[in-house]
Amino acid sequence: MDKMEPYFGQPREPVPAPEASGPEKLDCDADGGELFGIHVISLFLTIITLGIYRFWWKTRVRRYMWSHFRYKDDAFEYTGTGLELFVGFVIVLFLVVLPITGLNIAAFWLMENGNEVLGGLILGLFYIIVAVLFGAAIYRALMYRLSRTLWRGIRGGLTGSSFGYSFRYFGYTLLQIVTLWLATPYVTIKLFEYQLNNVWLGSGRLQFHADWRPLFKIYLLPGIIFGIGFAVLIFGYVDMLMTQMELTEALEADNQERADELLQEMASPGGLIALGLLVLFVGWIALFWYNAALYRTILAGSSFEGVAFSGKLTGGRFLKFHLFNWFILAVTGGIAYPWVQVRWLNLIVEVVEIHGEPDFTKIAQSTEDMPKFGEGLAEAFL
Amino acid sequence: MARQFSGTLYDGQSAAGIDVMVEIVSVGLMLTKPDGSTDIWPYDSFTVMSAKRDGNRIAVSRVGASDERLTIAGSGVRDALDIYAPQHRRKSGRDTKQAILVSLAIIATLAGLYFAYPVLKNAVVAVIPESWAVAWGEAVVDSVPGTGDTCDDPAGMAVLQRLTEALTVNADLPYDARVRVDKSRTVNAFAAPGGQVVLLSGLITDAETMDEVAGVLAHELGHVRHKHALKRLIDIFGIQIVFSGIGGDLGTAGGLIMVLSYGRDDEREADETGIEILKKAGMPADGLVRFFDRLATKRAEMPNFSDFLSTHPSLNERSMATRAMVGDYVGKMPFSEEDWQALRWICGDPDADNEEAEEAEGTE
Repeated sequence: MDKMEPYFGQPREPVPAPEASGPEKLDCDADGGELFGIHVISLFLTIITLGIYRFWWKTRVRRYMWSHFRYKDDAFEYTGTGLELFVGFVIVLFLVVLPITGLNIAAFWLMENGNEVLGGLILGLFYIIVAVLFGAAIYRALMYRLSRTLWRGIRGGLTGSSFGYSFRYFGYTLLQIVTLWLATPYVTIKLFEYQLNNVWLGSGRLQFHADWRPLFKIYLLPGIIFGIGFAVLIFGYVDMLMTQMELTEALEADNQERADELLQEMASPGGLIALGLLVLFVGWIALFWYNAALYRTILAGSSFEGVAFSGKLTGGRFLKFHLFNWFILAVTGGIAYPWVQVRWLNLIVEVVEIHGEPDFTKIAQSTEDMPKFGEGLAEAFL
Repeated sequence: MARQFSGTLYDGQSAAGIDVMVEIVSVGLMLTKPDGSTDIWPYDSFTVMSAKRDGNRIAVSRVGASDERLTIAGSGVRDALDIYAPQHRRKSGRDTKQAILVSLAIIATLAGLYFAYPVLKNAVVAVIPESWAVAWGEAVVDSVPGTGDTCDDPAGMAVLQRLTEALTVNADLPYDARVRVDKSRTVNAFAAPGGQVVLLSGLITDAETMDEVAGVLAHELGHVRHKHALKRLIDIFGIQIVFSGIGGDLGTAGGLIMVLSYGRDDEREADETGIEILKKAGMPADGLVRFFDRLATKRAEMPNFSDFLSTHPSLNERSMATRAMVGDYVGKMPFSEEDWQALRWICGDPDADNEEAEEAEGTE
């Protein structure tokens, strides 16, 4: 082998010094067309393998998206495999889905055969298990994805317990029902607190603390509009039922005139129901401002080894972003989906601002055990 | 083309990299560290994980358990790798070409499936044991709205039993026919997998003669002969497998009722076989024809129903076709007026709700 030329004396490519004033950004150069090719090929393989290929499909898409997403010019890397997802799915199918399906069948069998109490109890148990597994599925899927996400060769990770998350999720869902979903900001922040404080990159840990009260003020508007919408909807539904009952009575009493009148009333598009849906739609539009504020809060409340974050997403921007997504999906009949995925990545790039820089010498490789298989629960419940 | 570039090596232990010099040599990448030590990454020991679009920066991952990563920067570094390392060459436009090829392959596969499917389906139907078909059929019958209230008047049951035996003795059916009458105002009858036939009592009370009931029953036995219900069930399983595979969840959309809505060809085949069964039993075969005629007259009076049924062969068409099949054949009904009345009373007084008898889906 030739002797190496001395190299270290040569000038290196100039590295732009980070601006002291402006925040740093992420970078993405994913391309919708390339991603489209991956989707089309995977769709075909999924069809001819009767669905089995979908695990490899997900993997290919993630690998593509991760590798075109950069921080400090270094791309993220996804090291998960289709086989891991497939094995995770098979394990959950046999250890979870089939047993609890059996439980469900047993409950109905018992109820059919006169044992209503035991059957009902087993059915209740079935619903509780499903509800608890739902939260665990969310958490375990994130655990798997982060453990397969690398940056500069350093693995991400999610500690904490999926059942710890899941019981919180279950409890907070009950709280949501009791408070008619007014607890949404509180619940969302609390769940993110559990999740985000367990996110790691190697030995570096994400910290997240935020106050839900300012968010609650923003949530009040959509929250109240939703409340009114649902109330109108329920009122309209009861009204419709009563008209129907009246119609039955009129028909039984051979009161043709009254019956015609009622029929006409029912034929005109249910006024109250339409109004209720319209109000819900308005509430849903107002929700974009809340969601934008939520993401800003999450970014502002997060820090990683001395690095702070901020976000500049506004409700109007977020609404426009979604409207355009739906528009291109609708006119292309869903074919534009890969471009929508890329738009999401670009939105993250646009929104996320990074202040400062961690001491990279202090971020060592993760010593956490990695989950061996992936996302089976999410496959089953989400 | 330059072969030397600056790089940063991440050792898999720390996020802080060390500057290295990377040279593309014949056996792989040669790394020179600041202390002067060198290391070779053979070409088959790494993959190009990421490349910037300008081609001036690439990220390389060590394969296997190693977490070592290398970033190589410099003008034209991606092109250089293309030239000197054929196994890491960019496959330009590869995905587009593949996408076109794959689209053609999808079309070819679908076309192939379209032609191969009936053959596959018949093969599957042939190997399904009778006990499975019967169990599935029971589930199907249970799921059909309006069934479940099975009539059991002993005299009526005896006549139904004799009628069924007379029709099936020479009918060459793959299964024993299990015929029952369920109380319902709907004028309908259907055959489920495993030889189960349900006549709804509305059909019997609506019929003018026993010939008509025999005709409809023979038609349903025609479905049994050709295992039409089982084939439809397989169709639905097939659709569900494909859709659940792709990720869309048809679930039980459409429900098992779909099993009972046969296509035009199935109906024609069952009509044809029904007439044949009637002839073999020596019974009059024009009952089915008259049943169609009467339904057609009724439908004409209730125009709202016509579009609902538009996917089925029109009643007039079926009436004409079956009339042609009957030809000048004349049969004899081996049942007395008393028997006919017993059958009409199988669910109790047939005139109790005759007035309100609604007509729904017709015979399928």
